[in-house]
Amino acid sequence: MPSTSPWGGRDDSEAGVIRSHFLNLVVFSVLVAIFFAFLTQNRTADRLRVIFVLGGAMIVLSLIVAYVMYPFPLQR
Amino acid sequence: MTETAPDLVSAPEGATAAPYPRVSPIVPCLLAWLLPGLGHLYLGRKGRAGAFFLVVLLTFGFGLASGGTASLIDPQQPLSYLATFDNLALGPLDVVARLASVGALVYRLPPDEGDPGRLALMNQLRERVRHPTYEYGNTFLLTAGLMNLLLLLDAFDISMGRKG
Repeated sequence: MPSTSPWGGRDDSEAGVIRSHFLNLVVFSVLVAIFFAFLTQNRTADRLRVIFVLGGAMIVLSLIVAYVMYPFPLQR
Repeated sequence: MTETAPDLVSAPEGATAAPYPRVSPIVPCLLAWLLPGLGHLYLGRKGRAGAFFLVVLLTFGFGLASGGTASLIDPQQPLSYLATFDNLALGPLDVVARLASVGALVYRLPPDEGDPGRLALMNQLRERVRHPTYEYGNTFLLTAGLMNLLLLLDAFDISMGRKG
């Protein structure tokens, strides 16, 4: 479909797109963890701790939820 | 949360709680809305400003690159009001997102289902939904908006002397 964007829009080459679910999860978790680390902490050590704890928790908990959902069928 | 919570709202060393705003909160809030981190830069938080700028821009960039689409208000879907408001929290970046994803500065779907404009927009949105990472893109875009909203509130708190 031709783009109607005045900037030419995006083509469908999907350059730079992350298709891996897990990699998307990791990137998202790390970005959110860094954001909250800088938002809530003042010292570098505390920020690093928040990044590891929050980022790790988001990744691990998401994997646990995904594992729990695994027995559910995709289609009825 | 109260102002006595030391981790989140502790004042810098030697600082005292200001009975009146040290600076007008309007300017840093407006700057924070215009560009992520700019409000913090104005308030002298250079390190934080740089980090926020990079993180929000990366989140926004991943969202657009992954096929995310700026939300449009659809009266038939009440949650679309929240999503559009969240997009607007990105300030001028929302304009970029709309031009890149919808192709025009559109904020609302025409309510009449027979409206040709609505049909054209709906067809365009359906095309974008076929993008394999469309949901990821939307999540990244909405998260970038929420981040900038929090930055705006944080700049407000700092300018009011509530946070160091």
